[in-house]
Amino acid sequence: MFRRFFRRNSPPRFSYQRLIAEIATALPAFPGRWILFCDHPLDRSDRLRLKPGDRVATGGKLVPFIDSPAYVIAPATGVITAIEPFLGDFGRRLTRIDLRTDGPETIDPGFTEAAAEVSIETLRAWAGDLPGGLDPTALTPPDQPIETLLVSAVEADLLSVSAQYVLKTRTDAVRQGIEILRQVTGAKRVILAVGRESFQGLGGHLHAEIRAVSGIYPASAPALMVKELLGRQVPAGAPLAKLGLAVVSVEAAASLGRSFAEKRLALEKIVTVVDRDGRRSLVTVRVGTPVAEIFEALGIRLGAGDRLIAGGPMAGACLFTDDHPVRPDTHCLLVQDPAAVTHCSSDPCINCGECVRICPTHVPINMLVRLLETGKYDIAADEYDLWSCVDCGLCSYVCPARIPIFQYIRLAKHELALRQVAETENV
Amino acid sequence: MSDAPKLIVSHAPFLHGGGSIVVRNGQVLLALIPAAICGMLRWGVPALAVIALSVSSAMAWELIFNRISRRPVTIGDGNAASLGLVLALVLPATVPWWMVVAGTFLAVVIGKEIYGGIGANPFNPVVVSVAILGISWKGYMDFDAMLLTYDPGFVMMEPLTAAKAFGTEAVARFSAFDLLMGRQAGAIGAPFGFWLIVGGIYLVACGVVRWEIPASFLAAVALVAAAFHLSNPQLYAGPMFHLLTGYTLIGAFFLAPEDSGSPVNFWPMLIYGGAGGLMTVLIRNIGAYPDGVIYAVLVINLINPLVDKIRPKALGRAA
Repeated sequence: MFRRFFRRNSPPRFSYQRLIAEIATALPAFPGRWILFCDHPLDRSDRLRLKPGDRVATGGKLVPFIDSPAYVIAPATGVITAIEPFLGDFGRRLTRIDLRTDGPETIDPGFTEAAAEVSIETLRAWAGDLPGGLDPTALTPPDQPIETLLVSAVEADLLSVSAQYVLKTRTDAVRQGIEILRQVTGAKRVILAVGRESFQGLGGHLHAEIRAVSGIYPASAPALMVKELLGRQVPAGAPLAKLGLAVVSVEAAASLGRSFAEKRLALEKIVTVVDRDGRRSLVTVRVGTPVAEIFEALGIRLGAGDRLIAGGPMAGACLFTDDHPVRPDTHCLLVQDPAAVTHCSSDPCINCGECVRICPTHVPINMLVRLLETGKYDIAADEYDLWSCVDCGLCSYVCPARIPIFQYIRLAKHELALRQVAETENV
Repeated sequence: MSDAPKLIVSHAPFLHGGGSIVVRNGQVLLALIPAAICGMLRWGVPALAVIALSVSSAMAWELIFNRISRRPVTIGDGNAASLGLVLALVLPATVPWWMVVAGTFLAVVIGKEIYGGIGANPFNPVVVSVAILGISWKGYMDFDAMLLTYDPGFVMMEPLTAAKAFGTEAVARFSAFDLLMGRQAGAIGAPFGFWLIVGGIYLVACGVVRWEIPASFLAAVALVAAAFHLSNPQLYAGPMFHLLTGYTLIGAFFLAPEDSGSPVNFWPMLIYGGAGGLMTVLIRNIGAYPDGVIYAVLVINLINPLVDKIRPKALGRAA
């Protein structure tokens, strides 16, 4: 208790975790269940192409809806057991597909045929679910070609070491992936962004400019990375494509390279798992593996009151159950003890300015939070730089009043995005 | 499914630095304790009585107003207690009890609660209170009159009043070291410059006080006082005298940097503190009052919203 009085309240700098000599454990392709999320809401009126009982082959493309091209990639050979609607964060509506492994593994030939041609169409049709999280639509924006491609080997959040591991162990696949990305986007410049600490020992055979970025969180935020590496500012709220830029995670690049080299879709994802005591393990699992299965294999037991976090401690998302899959962008899974859970308070902002001084993008959070608390999102966006925020969560971390500032910001962005949709639809 | 453990679900971030309003106010209280102890040793039981009454009545007013306004009870956050202690340290030891209670009412209710509580007050509550007390009961706030009964073995003449009335010569007897160690007539805690500096540095180290505000405040006091002194050494005392007398140090470390009324950006903090120091010496040297800190802080609280608009451009903001 007394020690608290002699400590500086705000910790100014967070370093990303560094990968020490670690080897990822390849967890077996579990004989059990798989959970997939298709990024499309499931309504009663939807006409479905798939139904429970249908058989799927490993690497096969599942297109659940007759009227939508949305797809997921089957991680295993088996039978569909359920197709249900799923409500994600911020009311995001998805479709959940459950699989059960059944019979010997067969590889779906679809991608093998498609892989003969390296093109953006192939990527659009097949690479949307690649481990590492690739958004093929961001690679070829309609109005402007991508000139510079940033391949980010900086961790997305604290505690994770997945990206460093991919870069270290799958260097060839990264190189091949970079080639493919260069080819499909026509980018003149490809930069591999690496944390300053893990910069050494990278050879020049990656066919990309290798540049070091700060090892201090949140250097991996795309807008900050662009500023640090290129000295350019992404207009607040605008997509990177506006500047002819795209950011791809190193794991997505590696998965892409591997998929085309082996002519079969890469399914394995590197996940950093941090348990209650801070022990870290790296595992290789297929996208769609339920978290429960990973924890069982690692001997992690969830207790009442624990927090299960996907993504990372600063900007991740809580899961309410371990019956949830590893998704293409689940770089890290984290279990937090009830004792480590800090609760928010209902105290008002005391204008101490800790948030303003830690904000990497100079958002006047002390003013912003007053507007967000009262729902004045328009003024927040117009006058107080809401869209400059890069979603790092540092403001909430330092707030002595324990205001959920980051959540207010996310909510505001979500609400404004909804308004924008309504405006465009109602014109 | 039903046998699965119930998990806690909340939003990011899932870490917190551990800072809290309670700790911050606790740190303010701790930083003031040395000066408070010195005050009690110097002025005796009356000082203890004022401190105890001020802290307790400040908390009582907050509780009463919480009940009246039907808002959550906030005395647990320690802010009322720290306001009470700061107020006590700027009052004379012999101030009557009802004035202490009136002072905490002015600070807690008029200065803070009616604006919506902690964080919402435009002015430093203690400064509002002292300003009103000083206007309303001028005699009781006059250190020379109030401390007549004391004979602690040094010159019992309030230095600032002496300087104002008789010029530099009258205060030549005060050595800087004596002033620093509190051997001067004054409030309960405000004269103990050394301990206020220690407390202030502790608060800066803890991150409760931004160093820019006290540094620029004190620098401006020194610079402006030096300029006056050079222009007319007989009439105006030197910078060291102004730094170590009156409310300068308690103002620089405990009044001006109060969170709610002070800016948070770098340049605004320097302007704010600098303006405070400038106003302090202007009021002292050419204004009507012997000490200018209280009105200087009120003025800079007033300009705070305006100066705090000077801020770095946010990432990606056009123009």
